[in-house]
Amino acid sequence: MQAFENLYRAYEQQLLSTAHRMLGNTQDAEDAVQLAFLKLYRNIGKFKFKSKISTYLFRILLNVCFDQMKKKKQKITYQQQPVPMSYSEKPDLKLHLEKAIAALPEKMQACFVLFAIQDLKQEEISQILDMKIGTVKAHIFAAKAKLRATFFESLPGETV
Amino acid sequence: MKDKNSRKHPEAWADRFKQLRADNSSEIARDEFILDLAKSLQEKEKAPLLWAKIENNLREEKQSKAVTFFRPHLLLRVAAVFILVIGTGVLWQKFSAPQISNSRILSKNTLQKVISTEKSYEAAIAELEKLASPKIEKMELELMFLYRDKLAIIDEQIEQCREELSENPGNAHIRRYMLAALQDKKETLQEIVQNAI
Repeated sequence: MQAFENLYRAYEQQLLSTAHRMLGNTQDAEDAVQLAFLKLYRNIGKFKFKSKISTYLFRILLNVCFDQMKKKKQKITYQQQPVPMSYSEKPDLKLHLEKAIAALPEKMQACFVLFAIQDLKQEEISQILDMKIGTVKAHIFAAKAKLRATFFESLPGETV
Repeated sequence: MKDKNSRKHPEAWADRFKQLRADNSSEIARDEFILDLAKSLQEKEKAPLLWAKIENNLREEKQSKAVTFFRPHLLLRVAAVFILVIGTGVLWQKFSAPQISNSRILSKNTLQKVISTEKSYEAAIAELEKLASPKIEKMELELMFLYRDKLAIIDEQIEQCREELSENPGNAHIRRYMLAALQDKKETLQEIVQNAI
């Protein structure tokens, strides 16, 4: 149990933050991390030490997130979401970006979250998501293009 | 264009955003802004009770595993282990024992070289064991048992080889078997030392 606790303490922030960005709320993120650890425990015998255990854990977590997203069908198109205004009647840019990220297709969203928010290397992302590194690069490139378009073109200029 | 203050202050983010839009700025500048803003989303998540929940889950899982082992398929599992042990013994007798007397006998020089290689393996294993032992102790139980089981099986193979070699020291087949077991043990210990959490 000590090894699992060490692993949890080492990656707690990154795991929760990743799950939060993927699922959109704290409660679902905590549930996902909890389930990821249970799955890691059940499958630890299958781990062959060919990658870092943190990579294996992130892979499990993202699969849990993808499952939850499919179950809830919570992908909402960006256009459907109102952009909340802050107290100063200006759009909340962070929230705006969070919602734009949440509206990306699943794999693209995962690549962008791991790359831009969690600061992971593209090679590690390719291991976590079991994709070729070229695919990861393409997803990140496409994510940036989509975000650029939605982010800079959708907000009404006068409110900023 | 990049303003470090904008990482902390929402007003500065808004100003930078406004400027980028007004300037009809390049894609690169806009990407930089998005990536900077995305980095700022890496705020600390707080879930003070989460580990306690996970720990409870893992304990329950461990208990339920123990219960399922001892209840429905106990006889089947015991029978399977029994058959495996008997089968291994029979195979060992059938294939190993007769070959001892029939195998090629190593020449004195070759035997010296093989013994020297075995000693170098044993020395490496002794060093690795010192490093691996504390790591195994810190492992999660299931992983610890997996490694201990594997090492115990290898030790048993080595022990069987030693017994046979005490009577037939020049037996090439047993010497090969012994070297393979030593190599396996060395690699397993290296794996534990290099990769364990």
